Parts: sequence; C-alpha cells; structure tokens
Amino acid sequence: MKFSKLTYLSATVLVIASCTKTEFDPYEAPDSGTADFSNYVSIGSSFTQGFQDGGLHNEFQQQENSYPAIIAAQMGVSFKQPLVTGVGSGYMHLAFLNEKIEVIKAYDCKKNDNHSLAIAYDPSFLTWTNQTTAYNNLAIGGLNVRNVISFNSTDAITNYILFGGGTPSGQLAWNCVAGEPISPYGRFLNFGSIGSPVDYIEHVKNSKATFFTCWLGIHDVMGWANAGGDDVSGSSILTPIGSFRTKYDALLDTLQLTANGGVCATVHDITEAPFFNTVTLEVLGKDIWIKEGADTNIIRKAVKEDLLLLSSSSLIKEGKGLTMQDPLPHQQVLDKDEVLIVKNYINAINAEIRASAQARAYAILDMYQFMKMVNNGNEFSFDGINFTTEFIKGGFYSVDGIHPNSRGYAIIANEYMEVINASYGANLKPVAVSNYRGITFP
Amino acid sequence: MKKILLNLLLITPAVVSAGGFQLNLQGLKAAAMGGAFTSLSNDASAVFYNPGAMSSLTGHQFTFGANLVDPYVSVQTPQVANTNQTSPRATPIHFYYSAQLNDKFNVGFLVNNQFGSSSSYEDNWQGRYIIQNISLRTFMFQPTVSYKLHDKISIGAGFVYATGSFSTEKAIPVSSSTTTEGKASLTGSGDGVGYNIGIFSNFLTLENGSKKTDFNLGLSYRSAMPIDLSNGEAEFTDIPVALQEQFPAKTGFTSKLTLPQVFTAGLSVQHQYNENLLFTVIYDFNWTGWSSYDTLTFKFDNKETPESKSVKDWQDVVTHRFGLDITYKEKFSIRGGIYMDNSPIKEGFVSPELPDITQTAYTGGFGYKINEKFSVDFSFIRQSAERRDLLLSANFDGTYRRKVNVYGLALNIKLPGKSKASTSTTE
Repeated sequence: MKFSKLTYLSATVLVIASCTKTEFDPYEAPDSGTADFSNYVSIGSSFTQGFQDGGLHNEFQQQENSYPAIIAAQMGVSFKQPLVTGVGSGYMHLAFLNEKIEVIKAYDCKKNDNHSLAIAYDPSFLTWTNQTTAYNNLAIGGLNVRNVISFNSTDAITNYILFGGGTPSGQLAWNCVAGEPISPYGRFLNFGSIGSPVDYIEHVKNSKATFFTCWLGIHDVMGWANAGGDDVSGSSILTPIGSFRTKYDALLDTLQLTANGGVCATVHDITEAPFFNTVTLEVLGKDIWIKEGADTNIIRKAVKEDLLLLSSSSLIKEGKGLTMQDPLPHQQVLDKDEVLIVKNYINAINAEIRASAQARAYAILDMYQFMKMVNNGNEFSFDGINFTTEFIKGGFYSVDGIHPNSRGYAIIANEYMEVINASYGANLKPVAVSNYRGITFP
Repeated sequence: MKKILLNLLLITPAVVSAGGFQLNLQGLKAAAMGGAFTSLSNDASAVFYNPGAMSSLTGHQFTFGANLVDPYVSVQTPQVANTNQTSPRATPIHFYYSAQLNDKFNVGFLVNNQFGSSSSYEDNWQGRYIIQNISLRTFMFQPTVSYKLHDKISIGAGFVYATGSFSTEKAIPVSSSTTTEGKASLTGSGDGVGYNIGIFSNFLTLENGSKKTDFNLGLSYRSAMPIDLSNGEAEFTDIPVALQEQFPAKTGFTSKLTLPQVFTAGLSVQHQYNENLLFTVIYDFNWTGWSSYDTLTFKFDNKETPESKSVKDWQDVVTHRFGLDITYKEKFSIRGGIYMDNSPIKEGFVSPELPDITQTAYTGGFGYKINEKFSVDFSFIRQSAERRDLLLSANFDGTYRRKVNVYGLALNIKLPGKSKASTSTTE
C-alpha cells in the first residue's frame, strides 16, 4: 500500500516535470544534399578574402569571418584561410578628434603626409603565409577576371608582377620596396617567377575543389570606377567583355573538372555604395567644380548625377573644387556619363556570368538584386539591428564605404547559403547576424 | 491594515503574461473555473470581479491569495535551434475585503497585481538587441462600495489607484576596440487612476422541493488606466567615446503606458441537487481593449539620444471562460474550467519581449471549508502553446514554445457582522 502510494507520487512528479519541457531539439547536422562540401574552395577578390576598412586585418576576427569562412563553418567542413596577424596590411580607421569622428586613412608609402595615427602594415605581413599550405579561400584582394588566366606572355608577366613579385620600380610595389608585388594580397600563392610565371587558374585546378563559390568581376569595373573613371595607365581598365567571358568560362571549366556544385555571384552596382554617395552636393550645400574625364579638359559645375568619391572629402576641405580655376581632379569624380558606363558594364558582365554559370549548371546568386535591397535607402533589420547605407553609422559597410563589415559579410553568407540550399537540396542554417561585429568606433 | 499592505509590497510581483500582460489570477475560485467569476458572489474577490456582487457578501470577509507562476519558454530561430528564457518565477498576490454595512450597503477594498509581465534571456543571446530583460509590475488599490437596488439587483463601484514600475535592458550594437557592444538599462515608475463598476443580479430562482436552481447575471467594466512614467532613468554603458553624446552614461526619459479597459458579461447557474450537492456552471464573456497598446515610446531628456518608438499595434480581444464547481456538504469543492484566450498581438508583431499566444488553457482547483470562519482554495492553471512569427521591425523569426503552470493558494476569512442595530459610521 505504502509502496503504491509512493509510486503514484513519483509518477505524478515525473508527469509534472515533463510538462515543463519546452526546449527545441538541436538542428540536424549539415547535409550537403546533391553537392559535396568536403573540399569547399572560394574564389573571389577582396570581398571574398575578408577585406574591410580598406585592408586585410584580423584583430577582431575580421578576416577570419570572411563570408566563405562563415559558409564553411555552417557546412561543418574545415576551411583554411591565409590569415594575417593583427592589423595585417594596415587599414583605415576612425578616430575621435576634437569631438568629431574622423576617418584616418591607412599608412601609404607613396605619400609623405600620412596622418600620425595612420595604421601601417604589421611586420608579420611581409612573411604572411606558407605557400605550401593548401588554402580553401583562394580569394585575392584586387583580383580581376582578366588576371585569372593568361593567354600570352605579356599577360602572364603582368599577372606575375601584380601578385607574385619582381616589380621593377619600387614606387609601384605595395610597400614601395623593389621586387615586391604590386598587390600583397596574393602572396599566399606561388606565382612562379618572372621567367616562368604560374597562372592563378593553376591554383584553382590544384585545389581540386568539390564545391566552390565564385564572386569575381567586381574589380574588373571597380578599379576604373574608384579612380573616377580612369584606367591609371592601363592598370585599371574595364576588362573587355569578350575577354571577360572567355576567362570566366575558362575558370568554370577548370572548376568543373572536380566540382559538381558551385555558386557564381553576379556583380552588384558598386556606384550605390557609400563610397560614391557620402560626399554629395546636398550634404556640402555648395557648388563644386569638377574636371570631367581623363581625356577631356571640360571643367564644369557638378550636378547631382555626378558622384563625388569619398576620398574627395579631404580635398574639398582643403579648398579644392570651390572655384573654376581649381576644380576637383577627374579621379575624384565619377561623372554622370561614367556612372552610366559603369552601370551598363556591370549589366553586361552579369549577363556573361549568368550565361557562363548556366551553361555549366552551376547555381547563381543574384548579388546585384540583393545589394539593390541593401542600398535602396530604406532601413532593414536582422536580429533587431537596424541597417542603413549611411557612411560609418549605417552598420552594413566598413570604414572604406566599399566593403561590408563583419555583419554585412554575415548577411551575405546567409544569402549564399539560401541559394546553396535551394539549388542543391542542402540544409545549411543561416548564422545570427547579431554574433558579428560592426564598425569599431573610437 | 497599513502594515499588511507594506508586507504585501515586499513580495516580488514580477509576473508572467497571460492574454497580453493581463493577469487573470485575481481570485482562486475564479482561477480554478477558467477565470470566470463575474456572476458569482461567494467570496471577497467579488470586489475585483464585480463590485455589484459584493452586496451578497455578509459580515466581514477577507481573502488573502497568492499565485506561483512557473513559466517555461523556449525560442527557436532559423539560426539557433533553442534558446531558453531565464524568466524568474513570479508571485502575484491579491487581498480583498468586504464589509456589510447594512441591508443596502457594502464597502470593500482590494490590493492586487492586475497586470504584469517579465521576460529574461541570457545577456548574450541572439535577440539581445531586441530584448535582454523586461519587467512590468503593477499594483492596484481599490476602495469600493456596493448598493442593493432591489432584492434581485445590486450595483457597485470602485475607484482604482494604480502604480506601475517598469524596467528593461537591451544591448546596443556598437563596439569599440575594448567593447563588443553597449547596453541600455531603463527603469521608471508612475501611477494612474481608473474605476471599476459592476451590476449583479440573481434574476431567477426555481424551486422544486429540495432542489433549487439560481440564475445569476453579472456585468463589470474596468476602465483603462493611463500610467505616466514621468521620471524614468536611462543608463547607457559600454558605449564608445565617440557615441557618448548620443548615449550618455545617464539621462532621464518619459513614457506612457495605458492599461486596457476590460468589459465582462457573465452568467452562472447554481443548482442545489440535494442537501449535499451543489453544482455551479459559469460562463464569462471577456473583452479587453488592448488596442490601447499601440506604440511604446521613450523620450529622452538628452536631446541627442534618438527617441525610441516601437509600434505594438495590439488589438482588442475576446476571451471565453467556462467553469464548473461541485460542492459537497458545503465543505469540499472541486472545480474545473477552460478558457479560450486570444492573443492581442497581430502577425508580424510577436516579439521575444512578450511572446503571447492564442491558446486554450485548462484550469482546476479545490476548496475546503475548515469551519464557519476559515476556508482555503487551491487552484492550478496550465498553459501550453506554440507560435511562430516574424517580428517585422527587427526581422526576427521566432518560434515560441511556452508552458506555464500557475499554482494558487488563498485563505478566506469570514467574520459575522455586527447586528443591524449598531450601524457603523466610521467606514
């Protein structure tokens, strides 16, 4: 009798206790669906390398949280990145001077008026990586589609000097030291020697990727646009469309040797970034004189369709552009005709990217459309964080006004994973945007 | 009396939502019967449920009650499989007193916590920029008088003085080289007034030998109560130096919260089956004017701090409450009930701050009359519901699973009144 009472009592206690369980079961392990994530390789430029604030740095896991690394973590696969230490390449940052937030540009060896607070590269950045490591993130800051493969020896040498080294003039090298490459961001790969250069596409081939993401093409137009529509002695030309397609095809053909799945992202409208929309006539509240283009001598008052670059702000403060005699140099303005050229060019290469990916049955992420949503001027939110495109305070972009910050990259990673799930029947879970940092305020 | 009130105030009244942040725990006979009580008059909780019904209470009657609200809430998002709320248990209380002055008049008083809510999460949880902790507590004080118009009809009215206190904490998404995020902590309190009126009618009695059936009707209306939080204090911590003009260490704020009007119409049937058995069935139609909660705005004294305005856009809701009581030999009662509670929160507005859910809840309870003076009531409420919604303003996609057990215990004391000859004039 006593025993049975006890039994009833404990049964009742058990029932009541189980009645308070509200926990949801853990999510199931990642499933790649029809794709094979075992060797995920990412191809791209600075946006894919984890670049922000005009540099590659990692004091707060900025590079570590590149969007492909976020995707790989959700895939549950190992993903090696050529990580820099601390301040890495140096970068631009914010300082609070005289009760105002000021942008301090990164230390630049080509200038002799660097700000005393300018951040230069970390010494470790000179011997940054081990070229024998097989990295999964093959993105290189500044990588153009035209640099992926060379069809003649001039191209091959150009690509070598760009990323490999052996720059003849010290002035051109990234740190003004002769023999260094023009861009330091590819030095984790072996580009051979000037006598026998190795193409980027060789590294793509050797990676034996089973799955890839590719966001290339941005720099084929951004170099020109960020120079105010100037090809800077040929180093920032708009890659000819024909050549763009041929090389993009070659890249995907190479990936297709080993990868049965992948996502190609289109290029967003870069003219909508804060870099082109922060210094405006409306904000300045005065007339600005500009020199129109590289090959004209037309000097006129800027109209609102002309986009003044973010970098023109300091020149305008010094008095440039206030008179017809002292106009803003054309490199500081993407004038209204150049804006159209950029927009049309992006539409043209996007058509090629889509066609090339479709021909090989790879998935397409429409970054063009997605970034329209980001940049359309309306506030949007994730996890209760409100974002706008306002420079610095907007929350999506980093201090350079071009690249996203870590939160922005997390949002982009989620867009990729949505496409991967839809295209390959995978079950990748999005990441919580709130777990990533925004801009570092002083 | 004052001392009792002070002691009551010391009890933590942070409480958990039910039907918005209204607490339908104000009497334990009611709580056991689906929350319906507007058409009954068998204890002092009538002061709250229907001042008109107070007229039927003889002598001096007191009720002291408390509930233990034991909430379990988990949230799932597409990003995070499970987050448990860390909300504390809550103990809302109530105290009622009714005194019969003479054949016509009764006077009464109440203290209770009619509204309250509390949600807590770990500080570093995914939705920390929406909410980390929030708590609202209210105390109502209501002197009441009732008047018997007629043998069958009585009316009553009470003046309500309400105090409310509010606190909330959330993270601010700004970081510096030494901090990962800022934090806002807001606390404030205020008060307001309102009224509570009711009509009660024992409109029909059927007798058939030893069997007797009473039909009762009750109507009650509790007014809205605007609570002005005029002296709020906001503290911002871990804010980067460059943003401290906007988010200073300390600033004042003002806000306003309108507690909703509540209208209830109820019907009960009490059937004396034989000497030993009394059956009661009861139904309340309950309407709560939650559309008063349309926006929650904090205005800061510091000019540079942006006004915080969140649109709530709640809607008026109807609740149906059904209850049953079987009393044996006027000594032992067993009760059960059910209520269909509609959430005032529209699609697109459900926040982890107060994840309210439309649901059917079950109630039960016991009563035991110890002697002519003392009786006790025990009640139990079980809520279990799940809801998924995308909070549009935050783009936060949450599935909320909520189970709440509420245990209530009350003591009723009944003292015989003075003889009619010695009417009191001091009340």
